[in-house]
Amino acid sequence: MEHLSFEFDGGPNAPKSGKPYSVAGVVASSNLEVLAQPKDLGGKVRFEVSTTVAHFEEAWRAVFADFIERSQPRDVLFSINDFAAIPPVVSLRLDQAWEALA
Amino acid sequence: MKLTPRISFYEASARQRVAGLLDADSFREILPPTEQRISPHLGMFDAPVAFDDGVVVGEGTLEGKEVYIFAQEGKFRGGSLGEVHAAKITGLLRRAAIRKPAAVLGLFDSGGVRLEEANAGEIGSTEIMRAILEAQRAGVPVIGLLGGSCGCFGGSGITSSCCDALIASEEARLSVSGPEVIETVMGVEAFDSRDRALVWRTTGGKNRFLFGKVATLVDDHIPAFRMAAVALIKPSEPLSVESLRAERTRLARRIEDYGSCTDARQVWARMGLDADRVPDMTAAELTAVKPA
Amino acid sequence: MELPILLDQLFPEGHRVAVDDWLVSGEATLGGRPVAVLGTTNDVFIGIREAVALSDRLLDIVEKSPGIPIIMLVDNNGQRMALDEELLVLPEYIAHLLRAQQLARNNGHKLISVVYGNSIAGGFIAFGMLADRIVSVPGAETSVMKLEAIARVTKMPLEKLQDLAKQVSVFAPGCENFFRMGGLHEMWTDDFSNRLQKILASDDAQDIRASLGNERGGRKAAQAVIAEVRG
Repeated sequence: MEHLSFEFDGGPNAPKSGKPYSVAGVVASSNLEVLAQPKDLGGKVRFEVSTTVAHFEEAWRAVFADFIERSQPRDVLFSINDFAAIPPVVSLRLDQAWEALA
Repeated sequence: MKLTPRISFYEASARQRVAGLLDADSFREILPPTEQRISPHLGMFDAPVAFDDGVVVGEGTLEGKEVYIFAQEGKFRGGSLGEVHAAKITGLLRRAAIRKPAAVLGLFDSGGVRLEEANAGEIGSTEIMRAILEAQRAGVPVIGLLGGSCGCFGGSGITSSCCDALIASEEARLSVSGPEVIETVMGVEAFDSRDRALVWRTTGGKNRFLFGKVATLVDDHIPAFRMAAVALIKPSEPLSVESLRAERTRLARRIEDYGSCTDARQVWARMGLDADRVPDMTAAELTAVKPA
Repeated sequence: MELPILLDQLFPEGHRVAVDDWLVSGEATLGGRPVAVLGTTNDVFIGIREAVALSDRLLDIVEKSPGIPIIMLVDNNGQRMALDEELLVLPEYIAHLLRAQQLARNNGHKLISVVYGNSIAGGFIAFGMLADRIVSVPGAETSVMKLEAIARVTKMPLEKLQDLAKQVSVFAPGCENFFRMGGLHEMWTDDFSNRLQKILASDDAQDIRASLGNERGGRKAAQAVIAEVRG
């Protein structure tokens, strides 16, 4: 298992739903679970990843950067348990978790 | 009658099932994934964890009545029971015995105990069973909903059978030993676990419904499960020597009547059904022809 | 441990316990008072017929001997593994037997399991694990699944699994592991009759196994999780 942390500058969109958290996906083979929580990060966005597939740090960083550009979130913590999902599935779950929280 | 598109219970995640069953926005999760109470043991096996250890537990309402609910996530390690997973369910049932909601709904979707945590899962299963029996003793009915991809095997097969009533779709499977286990231990002649039709007619929702173990057979449609659950909510019947003798008599009679059967088709024929048609019948059709 | 020796050591004041094929039943005297004895032997597998036979005896005890302590003697090879057993809904039969045990509890009977032989998986659940207190004597063996099978299914090399089993109690067979996990309340090596009287005198029918697992270090998460969810 590999554990990774990333922090990015966020965009203008803080979570507005009032929900304390949202979850997208499940920890099944080729899938992942994304837990999204509003958190005062001074405008930043944090990603904490546990993954069964090591040595893909740059791939994760790229997927997260794309997501930030797409949805422009701020003050959110994304916690992830990954079981070898491919990048399009990661993007989908991020979008789903964010949509439910936003 | 307005037709709604099928909302599959089978395909849905545990969280989606909970959201679809309960009154909108009524669900309050207990020990949510933000608490990250993960398995303390899976790390030893370098296996991934889930923030909720594969089971969602909490409170909500069903047609305005307070209910507690637990839902196993079959896609996480086969819905298997680990130390934390089992403890969440036990805690919820003990909470119910104290606070007495109208019912506890149990969405079982589990292949049994998690082998990496075998002893914890086994002991935990029996803590759940004790807690079901205590909740029932307090008058709280525990209603099981079966219809997920893992079926209900091993410890979960026994646990779910302790419920006051079961609701199942055709997709549900319920047994103590899973077919693969029987095949591995006793040989393929004993049970060919790759014969899907055999697996379903032996352990599936329809067979269990025809034997009376499943109270309500429903289509694989979350609103159908919801309706069936609403209809089954009533206080748990106290145990008595009379009620258990009657149950024992019924079960002994089943052995007399069907004990020589080696296949479900023989059972159904003896029940007076057209065994060829049973696999194709809808829940409504089978309900109409089920022997009393 | 051999059944006749077990009976003599549990009940030196005398017992009238008979064995009919695999079924052990009767009464004994303990501390001057009668106790009921019910159990299994001879490598039996617990299936639909065994479940109804055991529940029949249990309901007799509840009906005819109000409040009598019930000593459950456990030696079984697990659940019966057969298509025709599952066909007739084996889990329903086991749940029925569990409900009979709960009826005994509700009616004030104390249920004490004494594991003296094998106690495996579904068989142990059906008869043994739902007692108020569960103890083992020498010769007892508890297991969910053999290590070789666990290795196969989890795809971990057997040697690595065996090494892990030395450090943690959470998955491997054996009474020591089960005890550490809180699955056994006590492990007896001697003085069975006195120990049995003492455990019968203890007040508590609550399921304390999670707290035992926590104290002994085998299950350090369960008790806290149960308490937090229970509220």
